[in-house]
Amino acid sequence: MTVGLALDTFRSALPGAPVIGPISIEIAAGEVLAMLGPSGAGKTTLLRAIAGLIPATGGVHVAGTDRATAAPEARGIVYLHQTPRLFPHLDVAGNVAFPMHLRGVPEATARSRVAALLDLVQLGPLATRHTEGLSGGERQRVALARALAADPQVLLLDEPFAALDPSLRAEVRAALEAVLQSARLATILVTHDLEEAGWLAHRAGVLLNGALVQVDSPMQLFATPANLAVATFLEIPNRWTRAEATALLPNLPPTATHVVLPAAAVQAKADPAGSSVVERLLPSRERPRLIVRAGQLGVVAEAPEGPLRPGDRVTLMLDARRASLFDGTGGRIPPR
Amino acid sequence: MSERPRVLLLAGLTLTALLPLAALLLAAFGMRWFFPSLLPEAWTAESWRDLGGGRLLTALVESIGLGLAVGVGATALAVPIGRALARAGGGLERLGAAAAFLPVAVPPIALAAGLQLALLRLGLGGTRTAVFLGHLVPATGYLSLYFLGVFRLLDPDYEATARTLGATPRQVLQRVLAPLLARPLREALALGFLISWAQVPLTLVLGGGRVRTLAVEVVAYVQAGQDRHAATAGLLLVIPAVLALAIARRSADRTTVVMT
Repeated sequence: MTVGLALDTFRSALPGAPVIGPISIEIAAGEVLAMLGPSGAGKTTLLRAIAGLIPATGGVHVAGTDRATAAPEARGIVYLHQTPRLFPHLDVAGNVAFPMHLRGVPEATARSRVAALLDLVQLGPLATRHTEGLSGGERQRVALARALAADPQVLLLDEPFAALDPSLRAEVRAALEAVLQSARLATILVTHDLEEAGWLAHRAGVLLNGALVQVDSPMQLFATPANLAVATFLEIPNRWTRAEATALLPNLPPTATHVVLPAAAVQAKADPAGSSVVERLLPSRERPRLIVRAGQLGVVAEAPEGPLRPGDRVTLMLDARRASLFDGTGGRIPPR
Repeated sequence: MSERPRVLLLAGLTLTALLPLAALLLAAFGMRWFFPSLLPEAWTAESWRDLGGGRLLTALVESIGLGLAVGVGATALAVPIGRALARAGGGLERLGAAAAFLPVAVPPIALAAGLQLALLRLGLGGTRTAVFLGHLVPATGYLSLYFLGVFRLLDPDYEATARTLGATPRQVLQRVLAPLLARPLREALALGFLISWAQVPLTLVLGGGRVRTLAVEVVAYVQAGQDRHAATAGLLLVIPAVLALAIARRSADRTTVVMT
């Protein structure tokens, strides 16, 4: 594995911004790390610190070279804002050519590279357009092409989809995928959208109060949240106290104070003699989910065997092995 | 407000703007113009012939040179000051803004008295350099406040974006800030020029009577009772102000291009 970006006890404590770190992590060239976290957790501050835009301490290694003390322009790191800052005095092609003009790339070379990059993000026909008239999605794609024109080794994307309508997200996501495939960049993608993280990222990290609490594959993150705070942030359903869970999971270890059970680990099966009742159906793009009333407890479950309706009686089948157990400190209890 | 008072107000405003100009024109070209005659008895362009090489031309050249130097100098100083204040924010910004406002608010004659002491000690009393430095003080203060407002509105992330795309601070200035701020820079040059152009107390005190700008000559002509020359110099003083007004009006119509 070629390391594209390595942070070593990286820390930033700027007045007025969240304290970040210390964080140590390696991101391979060509790898996308999704950085998840609630608002105010320090995601943007982290990206800006890595890019050298705000002070930080600790190691920043880009493709094996220490860049911790380098100026932002000399780091090989491009930072893309949530709302791309396209230069209003330049047209689309001028914006994409901007990094090449800085480096003194010959005009003919720059022109052909601009054409290739605009084709990559499917904006070739807009080369001479003024940036003012572009849609949000087009602006993001221009910014992506411009970022590639800087030939970075690391790409930092700060919620690139957040300011876009759902209809535009697909086009930007396609452009981003094309960009990431065309260049082996170590990428950190800050996002609120767990689905996008799952779609684009190889690994996902959860940043809570400036601390990188867990880094795992997106699937693993949901299956084994490192602590109760991560499970809460990821909105994994069925987060119960011991007292609430005992009726469904009677054999909890004595140290367990909280239980988290993914919806996929709870199956509702139609049963006219069942003691639980379907309360309501939850909108979901994939498998239908429903809330089942089991005594005092509302349980989010899946119904793999067929559609159920509110009021239907069901039996719940729990896969207790998939339950995450947490102790009084919120820490995860290793499975027995 | 109904239509009639509005028309009367507009007419009054127009008259207050145009009447002094009309009076200047008549005085600059009129001969034997005595009260209560509405118009002069005869006409002449005698005072304008001075522009071909007399005292008026020397003063005009002096004023233009000084105004350009002050416009450029004050703008060059005010851009980094305004930017630093806007980025500092909080108490530092307020303190800096107050400091920049002081030479603007202080009466020019008081400012001149204070500056003269300092400039005399530097051996610059009665020189063109002293007048330039004296004009620079209120112009820099005024333009620093102007650029504080400009940089408050200008998104700092343009600079951050350019830096991570590979631009050095110098390249950011040349390739991002200069084009984005082209219009405010033009306006600042015009404003700095005008502050110097209209300055009398600072020029008289710091120049020791040896630096003769157009504004100083107007005062001298008035004091000597040479009304026609005073009016001619007065008309010449008006021209850049009208041009600056036109520039400011054009910019005001299109301010959204710079600030996004």
